[in-house]
Amino acid sequence: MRLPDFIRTSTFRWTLTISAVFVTAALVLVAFVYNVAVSANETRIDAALIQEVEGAVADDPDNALVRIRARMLQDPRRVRLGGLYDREKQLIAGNLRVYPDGFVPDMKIHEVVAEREDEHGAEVQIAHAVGTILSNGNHYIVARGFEDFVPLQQGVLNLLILALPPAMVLALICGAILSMRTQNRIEEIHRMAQRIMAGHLNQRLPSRGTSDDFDKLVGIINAMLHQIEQLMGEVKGVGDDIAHDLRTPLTRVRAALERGRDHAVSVEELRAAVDKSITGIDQALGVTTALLRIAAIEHDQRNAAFGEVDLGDIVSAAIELYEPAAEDKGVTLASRGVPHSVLRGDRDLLFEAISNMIDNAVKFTPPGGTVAVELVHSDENIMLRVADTGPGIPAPEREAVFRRFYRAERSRNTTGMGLGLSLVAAISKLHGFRVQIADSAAGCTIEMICDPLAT
Amino acid sequence: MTTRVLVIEDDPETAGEIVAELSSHGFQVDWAATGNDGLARAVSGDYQVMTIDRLLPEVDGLSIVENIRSNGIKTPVLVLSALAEVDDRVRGLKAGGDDYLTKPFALVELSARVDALLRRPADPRLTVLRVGPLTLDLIDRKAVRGARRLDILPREFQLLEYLMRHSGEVVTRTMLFEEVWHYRFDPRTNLVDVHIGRLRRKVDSQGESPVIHSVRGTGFILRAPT
Repeated sequence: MRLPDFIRTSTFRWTLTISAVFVTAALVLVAFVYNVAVSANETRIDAALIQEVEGAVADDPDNALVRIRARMLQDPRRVRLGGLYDREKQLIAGNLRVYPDGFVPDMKIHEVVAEREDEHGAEVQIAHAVGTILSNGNHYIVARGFEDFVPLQQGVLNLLILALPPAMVLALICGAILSMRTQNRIEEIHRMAQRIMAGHLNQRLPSRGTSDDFDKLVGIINAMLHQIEQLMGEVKGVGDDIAHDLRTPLTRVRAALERGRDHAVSVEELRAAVDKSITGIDQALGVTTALLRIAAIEHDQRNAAFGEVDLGDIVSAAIELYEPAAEDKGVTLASRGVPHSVLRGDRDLLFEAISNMIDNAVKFTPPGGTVAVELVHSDENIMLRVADTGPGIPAPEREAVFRRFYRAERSRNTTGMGLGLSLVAAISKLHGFRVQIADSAAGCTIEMICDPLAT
Repeated sequence: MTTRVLVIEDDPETAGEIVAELSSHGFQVDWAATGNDGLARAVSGDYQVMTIDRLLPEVDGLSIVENIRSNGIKTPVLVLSALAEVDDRVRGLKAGGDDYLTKPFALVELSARVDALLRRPADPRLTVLRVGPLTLDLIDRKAVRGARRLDILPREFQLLEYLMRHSGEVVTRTMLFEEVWHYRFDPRTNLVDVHIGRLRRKVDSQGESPVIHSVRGTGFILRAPT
């Protein structure tokens, strides 16, 4: 048989456990109260019995008969027992027909099986008995039965029988309701999760706004979903960008080849078309190479090629490499102080990163502008700063330009420009450096902050 | 005697291209499609130069290189690789490769590098290089064309030195970049061309027959004017 789902929920199990604990506690409590009540009673009764026997001892032994008779007379609840026996333990007076078996008349409480007999008939009672041997040799025994405690026992038992089952049922119902609520909540979340898994990544798990445990959990999961959705968006964006960056040169290749095939009349013309095609394909290959390279650098935790390098030398070499190209474009590439700066790093990768920074700056600086490169030493770090007089990057976009294929407004019409800065970012990350775009009044200033102690 | 080249490459199409390119340069090219075959031929010592693919089905290309070297064979090896790992090149060279080229590469780049590996380096004890009207004094750092002293920058001097040491050979942009700047980096733009352009304006003045020539789609060549 299959149990209803809610029974298997942890809430229901908790309810059951708590009910069991509750019932046990109630039983223990009732037993305790009962015990305390009974033993208090017993103590009082025992004291009274001893007192009575002591009275009899102090009294004239001849009064014993009267005392027993008087005791028998005051017994509305039929619990008072007593007997006066001669030396041979033969009953003289009282309702304890037989001298209790094994009884020792030593003024101490003994539990006895008492055979009671009076004008109302005979019965056997469990009783506490105290006895003594009077000065005349007679045995004097008083006892008290506990028959009148039975209703108390019964009452307690009735209380348990009447109260516990309803309490249990109530607990079960509460448990079931709570469990079903949990179950419903989980169902709700499950349904939504399935929608999300089916591809509706913009959906969120339902929250009830009660800030209960579930809401908190839902909040956490929703935040996670948000992040995933964003990443998926980025991946998709990157996919689109890759497609775009590859399609543009490939379209040109196709056009060049087609034109060459249909219209070229000389080998020279055909060659020109092929050259154009090769350029386009090289561009497309450049994109994939750069992508693979960034991925390799990002995932490469090894730093086999790391060693002590002079960042100053590398920066100077990069400036020297780009200087003629900048001059041809009418851009001044100026070195504003490049002191020796020894740190640990991969010489080739750092050169590549710095080249990309300079390349980027020269590319976006209009003729007549300036690209200034400097290495600034401070107490904590070494900072490479490349400042240009180009159009700059608006503050909201500054983080994004380091993302793969991010195309700032200013590079909208440049092909394959989305990778240079993300390569810079990947290389600085590998070195434990930081790269950022600084606030600047005009143009764009990219800073690479190098920790000389970084590995 | 014809130069024999061993090509160890598992992809038949790529191998076909490489063989065709190298054959067109007058080499006698043998192709080994598997690592074991390649290794067997390589240790025969019949070749003047080898190209070895990094990723082969049976054996790693690098272990072939290591194996050859441990057999005492000093044949120059050009390692080809589609891997783009950061320090892959370093490992390729450490294993005993003499040069390293990442796929995809231009075929002319490949043949230029094979040429360079075959060419015995000019005597390092030379203190003066001469090609046609050009004279380069390596001690005084002086460059002269005919009777004209060339006013060139240190980097241009290095470029000219490399071109002159490899006169008559095609040198690619990447080779120049690696050998003159000593950085492993593929400048995607025409940076090297700009530097060569400046050098050329100083070396080949108007009215003089040019010694530095561009090779379409490949690089440059320095030749004495005929």
